[in-house]
Amino acid sequence: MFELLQFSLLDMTPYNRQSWFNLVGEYNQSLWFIYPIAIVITLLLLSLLFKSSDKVSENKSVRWAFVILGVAWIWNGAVFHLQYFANLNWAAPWFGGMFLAQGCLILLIAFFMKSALWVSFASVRGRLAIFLLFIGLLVYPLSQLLEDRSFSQVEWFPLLPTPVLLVTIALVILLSSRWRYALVIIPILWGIISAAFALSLGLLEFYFIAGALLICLLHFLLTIFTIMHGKNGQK
Amino acid sequence: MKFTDFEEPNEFKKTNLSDRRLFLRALSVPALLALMPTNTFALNDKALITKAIPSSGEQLPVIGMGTWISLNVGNNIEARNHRTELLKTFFDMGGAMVDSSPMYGSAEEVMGYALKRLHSQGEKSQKSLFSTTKVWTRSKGEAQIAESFRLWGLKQFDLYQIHNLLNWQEHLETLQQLKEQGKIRYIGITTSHGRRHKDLEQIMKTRPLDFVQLTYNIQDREVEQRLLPLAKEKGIAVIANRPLNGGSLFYHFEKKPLPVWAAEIGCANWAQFFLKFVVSHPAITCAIPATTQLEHMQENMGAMRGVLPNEAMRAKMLDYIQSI
Repeated sequence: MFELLQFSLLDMTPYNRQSWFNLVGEYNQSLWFIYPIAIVITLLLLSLLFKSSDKVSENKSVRWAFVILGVAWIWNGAVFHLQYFANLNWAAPWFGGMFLAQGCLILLIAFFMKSALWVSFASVRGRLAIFLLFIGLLVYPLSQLLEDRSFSQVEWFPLLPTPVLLVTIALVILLSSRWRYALVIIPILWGIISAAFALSLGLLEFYFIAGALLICLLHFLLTIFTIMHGKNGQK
Repeated sequence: MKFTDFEEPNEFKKTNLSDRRLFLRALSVPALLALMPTNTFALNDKALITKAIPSSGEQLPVIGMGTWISLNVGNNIEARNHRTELLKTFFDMGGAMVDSSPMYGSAEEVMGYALKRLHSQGEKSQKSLFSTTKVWTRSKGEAQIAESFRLWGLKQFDLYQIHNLLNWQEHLETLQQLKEQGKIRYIGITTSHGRRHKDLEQIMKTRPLDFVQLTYNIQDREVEQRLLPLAKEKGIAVIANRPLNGGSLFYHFEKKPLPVWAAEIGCANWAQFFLKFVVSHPAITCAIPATTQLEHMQENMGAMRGVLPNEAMRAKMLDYIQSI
């Protein structure tokens, strides 16, 4: 870790925009056979969120949504960072470790949290989360076509880090359990690092991540306000 | 070979015969001149500018090539082949030093790819390569060093450096052993962006080094105060990284007019102006700009030809930059 501390952000970005686009393109092309599965997983996630079912309780829906998220983090750590991004960036193994840790944490919490419920989608939190979900699944990937990327170089959930980050923050905001505070630590840290890389490369990604982090901050401020308002109300 | 070597004995000196022989001798001069090395006559304005490595006297062309970002293209074959062409241009135009590091992602691997490709294409220009890389790890460096040898496809490195002073005590011992074994020819240590200059100064004063690498350009001249004079005093060669300040010099000055008198020192563009300023410092041995553009490579390499500015001209260059 000492190596990380003595270097500036620019030192940790030893590649240019085109090399980054090429890397994403090669990653997508080499894993083309995974994409149908990725699409099914995304649709499953949306179904767990929005489609009520008598067969699957909300409790189970929430847990399964986080299992999908946990697997996405583990995949991005073990495959994207350790096997692809490590080719461009010496710090990628560290990031891979972070992603693996977050994935494992999400899976643990998905299995062991006592109460697994979403907040109301009609609430402010709910609307912020749905908005962010829409951004992460659709708007962010499509916006990349404005950056001289080919379609094969676009980043899609659940196979690339930034869409996974955006969807994670959305689901964490939606989660009513207090475990959401633990689940958001690594995403915030990664969000700051990734936003800094995006800024140094001049990518639109910076604005999406910055926006998501602001929404996350807003959510916590709302939560604190609600708690304090509740305490004042009790007095 | 002197003309007196052709002196005939007196009995053979007859006017018509000696006139013919003088004429024949005169004809031999151009042929002999054509056989001399191209940098023999400094007054030739196309002459390659080289400087001596103080510890050995070996001549090194003053413009090298950095590979930070520029060669880190991963597995993309199109990009790798483009970088191979870039490297070929570099060598064809007289370049020698190519500097890399394990920190630069896939740059070393791409370097190895390019060298192998040039060799398979029957190119010979890469034989002028002055291979330069670094060890960059807190742990023992042997494994990383072995990996660099493998990636470059070399049996010997010309220069091995300790990157950013990381674990320098241990790596210096390792590199000294490799030098004794003949696996590397020179040892160096690097820093950049003005970091750890005090530590570097102390190492330069107390340890045997062939090279140091540091940041020096027309905007960032901090090293002129202590490190460059110290390098000169100690007979340590100096490589200037970030000679174009990471490209930001063009951002500031590209749209400003190049001074008319820049032509006196053979500068046709800002890249050559900035690079000649750097390499004309008496303590600087070589500068290593990085680029991905063929046109920029050609511009950079133009700084390696002609004359270098003297002290008065350097002052004039600095005044001009500070005035616009």
